[in-house]
Amino acid sequence: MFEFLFKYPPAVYSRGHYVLAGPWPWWVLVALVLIAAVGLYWNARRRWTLMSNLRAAAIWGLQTALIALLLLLLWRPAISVATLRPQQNIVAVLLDSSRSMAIADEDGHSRFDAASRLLKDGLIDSLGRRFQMRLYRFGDDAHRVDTAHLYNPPDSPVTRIARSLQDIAAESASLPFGAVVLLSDGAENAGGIDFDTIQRLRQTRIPVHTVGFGKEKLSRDIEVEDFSVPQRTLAGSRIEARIALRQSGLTGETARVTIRDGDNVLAAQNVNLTSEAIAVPLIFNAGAAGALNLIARVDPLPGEENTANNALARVVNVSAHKPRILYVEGEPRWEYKFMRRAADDDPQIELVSMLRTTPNKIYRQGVRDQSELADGFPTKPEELFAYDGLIIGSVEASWFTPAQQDMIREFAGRRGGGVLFLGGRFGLSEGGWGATPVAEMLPVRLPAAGATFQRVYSNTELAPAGMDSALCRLDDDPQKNVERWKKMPEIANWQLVGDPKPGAALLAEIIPPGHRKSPLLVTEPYGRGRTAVLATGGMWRWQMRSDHTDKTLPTFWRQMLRWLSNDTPGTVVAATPRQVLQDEDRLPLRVEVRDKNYQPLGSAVVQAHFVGPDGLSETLRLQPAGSEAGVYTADWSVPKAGAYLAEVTASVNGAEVGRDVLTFRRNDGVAENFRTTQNRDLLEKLSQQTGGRYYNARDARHLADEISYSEAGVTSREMLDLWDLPVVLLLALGLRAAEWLLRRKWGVV
Amino acid sequence: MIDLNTDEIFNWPWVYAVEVGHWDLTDAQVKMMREYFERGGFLMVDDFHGTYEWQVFVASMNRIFPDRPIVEIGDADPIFHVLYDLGKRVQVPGLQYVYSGKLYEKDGIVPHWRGIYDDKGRLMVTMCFNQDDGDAWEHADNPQYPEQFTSQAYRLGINYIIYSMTH
Repeated sequence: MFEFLFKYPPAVYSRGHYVLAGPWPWWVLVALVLIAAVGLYWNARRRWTLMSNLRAAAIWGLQTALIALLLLLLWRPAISVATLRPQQNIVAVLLDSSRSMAIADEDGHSRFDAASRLLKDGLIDSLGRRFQMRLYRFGDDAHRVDTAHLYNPPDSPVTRIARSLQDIAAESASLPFGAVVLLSDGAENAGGIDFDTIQRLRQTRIPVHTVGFGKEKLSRDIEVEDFSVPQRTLAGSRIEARIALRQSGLTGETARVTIRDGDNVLAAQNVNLTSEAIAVPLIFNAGAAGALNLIARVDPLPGEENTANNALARVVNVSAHKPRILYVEGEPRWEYKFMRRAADDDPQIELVSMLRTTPNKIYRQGVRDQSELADGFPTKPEELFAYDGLIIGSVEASWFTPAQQDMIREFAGRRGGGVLFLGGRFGLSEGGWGATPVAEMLPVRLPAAGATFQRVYSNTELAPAGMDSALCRLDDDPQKNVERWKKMPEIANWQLVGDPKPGAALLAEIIPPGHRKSPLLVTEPYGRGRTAVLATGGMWRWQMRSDHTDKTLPTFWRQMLRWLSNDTPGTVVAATPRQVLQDEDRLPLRVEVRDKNYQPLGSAVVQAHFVGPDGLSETLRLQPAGSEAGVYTADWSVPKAGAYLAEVTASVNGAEVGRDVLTFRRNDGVAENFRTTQNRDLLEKLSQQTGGRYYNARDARHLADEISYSEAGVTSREMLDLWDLPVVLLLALGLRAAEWLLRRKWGVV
Repeated sequence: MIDLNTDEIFNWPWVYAVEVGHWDLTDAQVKMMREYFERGGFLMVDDFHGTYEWQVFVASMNRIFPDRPIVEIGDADPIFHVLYDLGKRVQVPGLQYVYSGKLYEKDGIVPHWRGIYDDKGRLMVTMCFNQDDGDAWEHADNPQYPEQFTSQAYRLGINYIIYSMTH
């Protein structure tokens, strides 16, 4: 219909430039239209006594539009468009030969069969009549084939559209590519088309026309879309995992989600499938040091179309590192004792404490030797930054020098540690912290000092954000955890700390009798680290008012101590975006190196030593990343499937600065099991961004006609007349007919 | 004052008891005291003297902790150093010293600083046997009561409190 009315395909109108091809200048046209409008207005004025102003204006408008249209046609409107010269351009036809194309969801046939049929039944012939053709199969990359091999069954374990298009872009440097036709289900395994690839294609000006195959939604399926866990944690810590599920056709049903390490179920939950996308938070214990090979799985549901996408793997490096946390307390109080007891019972944590027993005396516990903290709170960054976490108890800000206050701020900001502030008689507002640089790092806006410390028996409860927080998890069952917080004994002292800042997480609240709730526990990321406020020194009543077998308080403190230190980086931190490579062989490695003051170190020699399956051993030197000081990067080609360990060392002038260990896996033959529906979004965006168009299998037969209009390759510019479009004639007749009908209706013929 | 027939004791992580040479705990009180210590409570007992009162005290204490021995606290124990260094101590007599000039009462001639430890080596119960630190605190303003006893009693009591708040 479009081409009947407009004579040319839509591509002409979207890519061409509009011109007036007549011999006279455009302003003459404008002038004549204005003269005609005025003349018609004068004529209409004479008749206005016969009808209302509105009706006369409508008649005048229709007459003017018709005259303007006819005058425009005299100026010969046309469209200038670049067209590929016949047989002088190459069209690359890329056929997706990954295993997901074997899924039979195209009216009982596989996607690959449907694509083959489209090519065989005319598309190749029609393209061949106009262009030279190069045929490619693509999966991991694009490789050229002849017609005899184009239709071999799909066998590639992965789909890498971006990499395949880059291959074509590279060839276009020496060949006149006019367009790319890409037949695929869009099941890209690299997560999308990267910006560099799009930029490269835009530079070559080659439009990518995409033809999509496969259902856009399965009738009954649930997929583990993502499984996020920290890459590393301390032994014995609780791990917060988040499993992203996507389902279709299963709304209202219940699915069982588990996280396993081998056969050992670490966490499980039944999930009601209330929407298409669901995030399931699960918390479990990391256990002993070593590599955790985790599998997040959804038990298959009856009639599910694809069960191979029900599980995802991740690796977590459980570290034996024993973090040291410094606790500064300004007065003897019971919380100190119970926190120390919790830490003493935890073999993974070293709590070093300094307690001000009198204005002139400090009692130290947990120190390595008598020299540690002998002169009081550290005065040099490298001394303070040797700790992994910091707790500031009931102690005034003025007890610290301004330089020490800055160091406390930098402890989180630059060093990346966790800092906890406790409520108390001399803490927070009462301690004057609100007027120091440290106030900036607090997750709350401290109120002015004055009676913020209360001695009122009050209950506590979890805030919504605390329900999914590992820090507040006292019971593995989320619902029981909420109830347990409510049933814990009252605390008898707490402090008003003001409202949480934007971006902070309010995890737990105090419920004073007869008053509005007040924040108890608030956390916030700050710089490279994190900060928290626990607005009480009275949690100890949880221990003294509960049976001695109840380990809630020590559990809470151990989790708090781990939260403070778990993510604290060392001087060398190795990271990779993905610790499980699904049918990928490229491991991007990023290493951040800092000195003892945690300033970026740009002059280090950084090496990664890889140990892998079958005795593989290889060393790689990383290069400084130009954009970030102290960051070193490299790509390593992972030779085969299996588990790997990378030990990264950094040294300056032969002296080691630090080291880190990274574990990762390469799993082959799994990527194509995921995102098996047609990724139409990706195909549409790819074609839009490159100047092409998305087609489904039915209307792809027009592709050969539309593909001719392209700026790439060997082109000539054509001038296509628009004056003789059928739609113009219809418009002229329509205007005249509308005037006649209105006149008849209003009786002013 | 804490009534051991209620659970009030669990609000007080440090408890001071005097004249325990006369106590006779019921079974329920014994059970409550053991639970108190297992939760983290601390008891300082004082002002009991001589063989008989010791036997009375031990009779109830053994019912609380039949499995834990009462031992002399060594001079090097942190409880004698947590704030004041009290490696060397003297016997602290009660007010009767002002009238009798005797440091001891009954047959309690030798002072003892004894205690019961938990599995982690932390003191749960301390006993100032054949002494009366409570009198020394109470009569600190009595010019006839020697200052040296009051000073030690205060220092010892503060050390015991701070120890229980840090261990």
